[in-house]
Amino acid sequence: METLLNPTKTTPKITWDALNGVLSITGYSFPENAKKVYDPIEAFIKKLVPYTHALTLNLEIHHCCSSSVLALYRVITALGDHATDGTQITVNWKYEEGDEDLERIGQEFQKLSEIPINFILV
Amino acid sequence: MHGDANKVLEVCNNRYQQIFGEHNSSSNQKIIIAHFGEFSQDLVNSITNSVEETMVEMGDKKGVVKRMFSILVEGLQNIRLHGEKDAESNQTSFLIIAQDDENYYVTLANLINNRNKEKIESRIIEVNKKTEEEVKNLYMEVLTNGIISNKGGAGLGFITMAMKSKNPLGYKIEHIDETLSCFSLNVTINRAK
Repeated sequence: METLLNPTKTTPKITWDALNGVLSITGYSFPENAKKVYDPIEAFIKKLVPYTHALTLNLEIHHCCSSSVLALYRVITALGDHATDGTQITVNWKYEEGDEDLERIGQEFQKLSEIPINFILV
Repeated sequence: MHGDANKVLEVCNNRYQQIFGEHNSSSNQKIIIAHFGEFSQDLVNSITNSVEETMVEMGDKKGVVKRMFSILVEGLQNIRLHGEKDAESNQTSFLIIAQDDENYYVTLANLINNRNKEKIESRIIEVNKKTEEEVKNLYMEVLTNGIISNKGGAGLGFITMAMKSKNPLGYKIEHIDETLSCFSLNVTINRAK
């Protein structure tokens, strides 16, 4: 398991499990500059996805600021854009009670990116 | 001089004292937190954490706590990213949070350049005209067309705050001099919703 980003008070832990093709983003996400956190992840996906036959993105974010939501949208879009026809993509989005807005946002992402998203209330 | 620090301080502090006084003189309201001055990243983190803890201790619903957290993060990031500075480079701003049995009242204030006054006002007016459902649609629209600026903003601050508060945004813009005004934003969060 490779750690792409160590968590801080305002940023999540991001890991990549190459063996199982699992990218996980877990924790808080309200950095002042979401670009700094998510641009490298987007770049990582662009490089990786064309050579991956199955990829799972696990999201579990407790406090998500608006620029992080936008950055996540770009991450999910990047998954869809760079996947080849054979790539199987799964997105699991865990959210807490009180974050129903996130579920709604996720559903919109699903529609726009055409990537199915599983919503799990934790 | 443009942005004269004393004049800036006078206008902003008057506004701060006025809002503080209104909450303080109301017998059923309690001030949870009040800060006048600059907001460092560390201070923002400590304020958001301590407000969250206080609300949990007081038994507020998880959804209300989460919505408050979002509003504070968006509002304080707005202040840090967009708050103008006076002639002595002070990013004068303030935050007051008060509560009563029904609501939380959040006031966030910062300096704005008079050039941006109309833009800010029209954004707030646009959001306030919309129903809850329309605000959510606007959020999605801005989000899916959105780009993150170099400063890190996504252009979603006011929309997110309106969406999370489920109430119209109140605001006041007070003229300081030819360059600057004091902009204060009032966000109400209903504790029962």
